[in-house]
Amino acid sequence: MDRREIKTVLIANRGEIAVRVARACRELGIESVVVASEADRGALHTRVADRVIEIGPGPAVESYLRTDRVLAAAAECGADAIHPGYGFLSQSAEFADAVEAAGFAFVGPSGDSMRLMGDKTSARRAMAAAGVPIVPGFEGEGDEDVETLRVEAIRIGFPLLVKAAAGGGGRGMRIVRAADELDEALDSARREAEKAFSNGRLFLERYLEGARHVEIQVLADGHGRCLHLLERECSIQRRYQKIVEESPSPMLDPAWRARMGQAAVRASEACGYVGAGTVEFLALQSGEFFFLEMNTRLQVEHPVTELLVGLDIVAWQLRVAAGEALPWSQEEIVGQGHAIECRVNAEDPGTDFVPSTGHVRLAVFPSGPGVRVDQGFESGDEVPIHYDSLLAKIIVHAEDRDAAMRRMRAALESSAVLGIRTNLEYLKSILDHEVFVRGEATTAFVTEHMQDWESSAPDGSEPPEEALVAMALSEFLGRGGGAVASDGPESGDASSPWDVPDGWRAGS
Amino acid sequence: MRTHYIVGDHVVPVEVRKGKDAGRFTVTVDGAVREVELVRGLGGQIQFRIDDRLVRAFTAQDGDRRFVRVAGGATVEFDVGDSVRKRARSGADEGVLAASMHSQVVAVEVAVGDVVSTGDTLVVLEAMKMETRLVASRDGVVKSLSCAAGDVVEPGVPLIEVE
Repeated sequence: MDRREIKTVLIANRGEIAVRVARACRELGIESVVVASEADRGALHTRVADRVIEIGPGPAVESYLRTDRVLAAAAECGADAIHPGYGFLSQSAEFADAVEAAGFAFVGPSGDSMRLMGDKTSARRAMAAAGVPIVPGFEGEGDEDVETLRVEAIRIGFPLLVKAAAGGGGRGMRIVRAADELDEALDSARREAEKAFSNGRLFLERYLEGARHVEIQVLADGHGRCLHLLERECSIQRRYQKIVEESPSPMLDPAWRARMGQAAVRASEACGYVGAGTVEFLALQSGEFFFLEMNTRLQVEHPVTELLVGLDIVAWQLRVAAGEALPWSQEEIVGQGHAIECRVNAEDPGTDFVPSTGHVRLAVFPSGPGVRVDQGFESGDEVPIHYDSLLAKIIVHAEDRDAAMRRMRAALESSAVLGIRTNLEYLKSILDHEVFVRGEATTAFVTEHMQDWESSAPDGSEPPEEALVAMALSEFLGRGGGAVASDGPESGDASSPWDVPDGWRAGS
Repeated sequence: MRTHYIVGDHVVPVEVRKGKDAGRFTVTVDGAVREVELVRGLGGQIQFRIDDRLVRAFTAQDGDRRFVRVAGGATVEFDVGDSVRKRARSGADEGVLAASMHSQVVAVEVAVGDVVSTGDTLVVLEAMKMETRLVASRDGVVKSLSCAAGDVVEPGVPLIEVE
């Protein structure tokens, strides 16, 4: 792979990830240019980058998802490379092709790698050929006799999921736990599928009960070297959105980890992967694991791995795009201690997680040994309605899992986002939950253990006295930016130290 | 300083007075008198001692709205004011529908004069990739409509009325 000099990078993204990439650029002496929609004027990512180019109205389809406008911005600033971040255009093979065709380096894999991995059927085939375990399954044509399906079912094993190929919403779906339940399940599933979808095609798939989401971070250069950077466990998910991630996985042992790492490297090599990517698996307590999909881009939770193995993945994305070779062997990639990430989202867990947008009046996050915060917003920023709800990621690193959990709990307790609703208290409840603490959470954790979650202070409940005292005292001190209501004459003294707007400290 | 915090429909009188010594305050909440020693108060972060306990808290305001998080506790919100005011709430009148959150109108499915039945989708809203629908809560006729596709709407502001 040829060396190409990268002096200017266009970051085709927003929020915390654009901030993260701009930071890596600065450290590498690369000029960073971000794009911004009209709704993101003055947003944090526009304040940390060297330059901003506005690319259209708030809705992403008219701005961040517009290949033509992103390419025009890259041409305007004389970019050498385009970093897509995650989401938006990051997994569009057509975008990657267009970027390269326009003469810019795409910070990520080739369009062909993305196409192969982006299609479920072609990815399954390629993985099977590369010896990467896939969820055993069988897709029927609809005219199989029961005997054929029986043979396939027994090949796949139990428990088994019988699904209507045309189905959805659980209709025509059966969980079969043993062979003697099979005939009845096939029969009724087909009847229901024919009735509901006028299509009796059935899909058989191994039912992965108690599965955990374990993914492997890979990093490949353009010179034929592909390394894995160990795993992350992301079983704590709500509606398929990860909310807590950690590494190492509490379930894996070194031999198991090595097997999964090797499988991920085979998967990446099978699609000619270059750059940072993630191979996702479902893993069972039995030691089995199955390919789920490959995310052909940087992932939200990449900092977990960065803290664990001590590498800057984003910097290496840029260096690989510039044609550099990875200087390590697999044996040199060693994790140390334990890392956990919590995603702070703008949503209201007390009201069915409705998105919460608006003005962030105060955003305070802790810092200290082993605490990192990647944030897309600061005090005073607006959270627009057009984009996802991720406000910030709190990532901690400590010598072992117990210490990391303690560090995360303390970090969550000393964070505050005021003015909009967030899931901070919900995250703390997860970190306190005995199933999580024991390291036994599966992908069903949120459904099984968090459904009845309630805030300790639901809307309309009486706040603790300390909160009222804190607010009253703050208002008296004149902090917070708003007018103080119904001042008595005793506080009208302009020379009082309490009225100094930039604070007062006892003993100073 | 004297004020009232409105928590739900409960009004809590609050008073703050400077004490004789620097950094000492008397804070009265709902009649209960508390002696408070301020440690630090800066930029929405405050630390004080109350009954020998050190309290760290974060505070912010937005108009009449007040936000507080005592470190380790839940974030609480309440209002400030002299009397109980009715906050704009969607569905106060069952025929009037409003967005429950700051969102964008994706589609308006009906026009003024249309006959609708309970459960019909009237307006489709979207915020942060999440779609919500305002559906008719009664049979009737669309009497007024005050939004169009593409509009950004505030929570609680009436968008459509069915009579």
